[in-house]
Amino acid sequence: MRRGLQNLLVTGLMVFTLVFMGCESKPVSQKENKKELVYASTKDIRNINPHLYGGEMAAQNMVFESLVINTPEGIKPWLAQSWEIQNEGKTYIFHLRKDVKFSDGSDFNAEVVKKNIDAVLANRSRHAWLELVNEIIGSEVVDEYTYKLTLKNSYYPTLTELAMTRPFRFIALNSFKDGATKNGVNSYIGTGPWILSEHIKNATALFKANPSYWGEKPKLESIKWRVMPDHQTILLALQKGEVDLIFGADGDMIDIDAFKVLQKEGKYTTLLSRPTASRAILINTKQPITHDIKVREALQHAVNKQAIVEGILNNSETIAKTLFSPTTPYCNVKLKEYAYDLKKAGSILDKAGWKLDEKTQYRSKDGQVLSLRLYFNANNAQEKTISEYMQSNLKDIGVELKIIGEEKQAFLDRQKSGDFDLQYSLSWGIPYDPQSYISSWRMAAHGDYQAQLGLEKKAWLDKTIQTILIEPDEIKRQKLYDEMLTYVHDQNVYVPLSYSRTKAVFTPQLKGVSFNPSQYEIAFEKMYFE
Amino acid sequence: MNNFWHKLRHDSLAMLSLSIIVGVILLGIFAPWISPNDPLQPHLSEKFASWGSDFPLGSDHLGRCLLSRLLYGIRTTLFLALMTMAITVTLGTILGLIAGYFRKVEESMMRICDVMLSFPSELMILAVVGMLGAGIKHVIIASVIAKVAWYTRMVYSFVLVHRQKNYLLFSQVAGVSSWTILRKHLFPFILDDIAMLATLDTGWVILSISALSFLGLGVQAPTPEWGMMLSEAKNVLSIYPMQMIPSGFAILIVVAAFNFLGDSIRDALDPKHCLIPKSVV
Repeated sequence: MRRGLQNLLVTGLMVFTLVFMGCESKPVSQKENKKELVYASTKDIRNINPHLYGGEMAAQNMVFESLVINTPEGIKPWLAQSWEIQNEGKTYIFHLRKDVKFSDGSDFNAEVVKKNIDAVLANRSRHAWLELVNEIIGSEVVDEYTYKLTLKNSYYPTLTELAMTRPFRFIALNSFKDGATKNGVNSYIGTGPWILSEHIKNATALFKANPSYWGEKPKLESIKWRVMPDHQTILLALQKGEVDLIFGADGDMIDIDAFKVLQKEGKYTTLLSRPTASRAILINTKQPITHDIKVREALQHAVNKQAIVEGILNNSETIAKTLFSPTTPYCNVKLKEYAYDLKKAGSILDKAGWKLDEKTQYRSKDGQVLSLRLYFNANNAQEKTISEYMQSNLKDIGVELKIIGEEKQAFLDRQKSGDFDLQYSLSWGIPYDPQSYISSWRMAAHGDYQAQLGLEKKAWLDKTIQTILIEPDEIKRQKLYDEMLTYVHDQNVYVPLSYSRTKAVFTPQLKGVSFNPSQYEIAFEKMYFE
Repeated sequence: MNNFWHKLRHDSLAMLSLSIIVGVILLGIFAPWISPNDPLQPHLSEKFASWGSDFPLGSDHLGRCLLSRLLYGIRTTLFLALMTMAITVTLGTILGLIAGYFRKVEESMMRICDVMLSFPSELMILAVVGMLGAGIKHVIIASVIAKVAWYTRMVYSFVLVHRQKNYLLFSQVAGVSSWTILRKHLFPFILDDIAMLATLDTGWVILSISALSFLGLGVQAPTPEWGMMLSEAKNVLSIYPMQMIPSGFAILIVVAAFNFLGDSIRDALDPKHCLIPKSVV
């Protein structure tokens, strides 16, 4: 009896071990001719309704498509095969492709385009950051495959904004809820190369290739989006072979030090995109201390960008001297440079009345210590490291910097309330820079707006941005950009740090990895295994 | 009391723990003189340096000396833990004495303690920190709130043992004021027990402060703190695993020392312990 029990136990243990061993070796044996790509992200895809902002943009981009697309060479046709611009840029007529079908089999035509755009316009206030939404006054079906868009003014970034990942993308009418999309959708049916076939919240999402896709069909059969909230877990999963690709712009997905080690090891392929967005520190001009332009100027001289880019970012990004990189459209403006110069920073503060207290090593004026608060997103390891370094930078000139890491939502709420001295600011990169980004400066919900409120000419700034966006003449528009950018630069609202790049790490078998112009999109459809 | 010291002195584990704790406290006090580098000064060109002469224990993600941060970390981690302990014990003792001695408030105070004890202390701490916001002050307040009920209850139970003793009843009849009775008769009797409780628990407080800093809720940068150092090391776990060692070991050793010492003190105070083997001999 006892022996029988023992045998049973031993057998049970062996089966148990075998089961787990099976788990271990699985990824290795499947390596040849893999058809499924496993992508790891720290975030779930969430609600990918293309007309709202709750979802992951990379996932929205997989399922939903736009009329035109942004490419490095400019705007290219996509769901619209051609277009005409009439009436001095106030009317756009799109000729749609006739071979496009939604993944549920329904047709894509002008009627669908109109209903989708109307659904976006029905939620105008939510999309107000995008000026195009405010400019549209007419949306008409001309014939089955011709669609006409009428604008209030000759808004120049119209095509660029139509190409963005959201909100002007198309979802099947069957997915609409009560004829609208602003209160959610019934399903995620798009025209894109991928179909969302399974989604387990905060665990995985499975995208299958769309068999009836109108364009070039993806070479992979499916994409598995795995959620792993911790960078280190993702990294270990990659090393173990459970994950094929890590892809991300900001410090969100992969730690820059880990990236460098992987690059050195050479076991994985690593890629860096061209500089995309701007990383900067936003200075709140409305707070008592930073209201003084001299204090802001001193900060410009006190931050050692060279050391940040070399030492913390491992040269994976380029030093930023101006808020927008000169390669951004309209942003090649001559602006004065602020060199890293502690003496100069010190003398500026001296002149402004902030005297160094020998005992505490901090400056003060009228009994008030020169102490500033910098808030950052606590989940972003890179922001924390840079903040800590800047803290020691500012200490060198006698400025106390308190750095406070906050949960992402608290951080975003703080932007809206404007209760900060310094805050991280990441621009969105091309195609959003510069027009959509500066357009958002006029929105009270954005930190930029709050931080600029202390500027003497804030009203003028907002008006100029409005004028720029609807100025039809290229030369005049450039001139306005010059004036606007020079003003913001001279007022020291931003301390530009670097131009960030999108990073990708993947197994060497994976080919065809490339970067879309937008840092938020991932071109899964071009990838394949060899 | 003499007997207690005698027992403790012959317990080698207790002596070892005690010397570790005293040594660590001394290191913390003299940190500015013995640490080789400025704990806050970044050297970006030498980040993640390995063990060597410039940085005896290596450097972190900003090139700050890990040994110096570890030494200065004693001041935050250990001293804050001791301070938290002191506040909790003082409050707990006062409340426990009151609850045990004055029968009018006994019932209501004990029921309040029951309510507070019905929550796991970690949950209480997180809730309080969540309400007050991150920061070391709030972590201390939260730790005190979470633990004070338990101490009140323990001290109350010590008082109960003495409450019906003749010398106390006699003092009451003789008209000695309550304050004097509490101070002169009750407090000295329960002091050893409280000391034992406090040592046993200091390890727990260190862990809890470190854990909250690990989560980013406690000490804020750039103050060196062991839990935060561990959290920073976690970010590079797979590429520079050695970063975990200094802070991880420091927490392990100090917490273990407090726990062993607490155990030994309890054994030493226990009249039944040790007596039995001796009588057998």
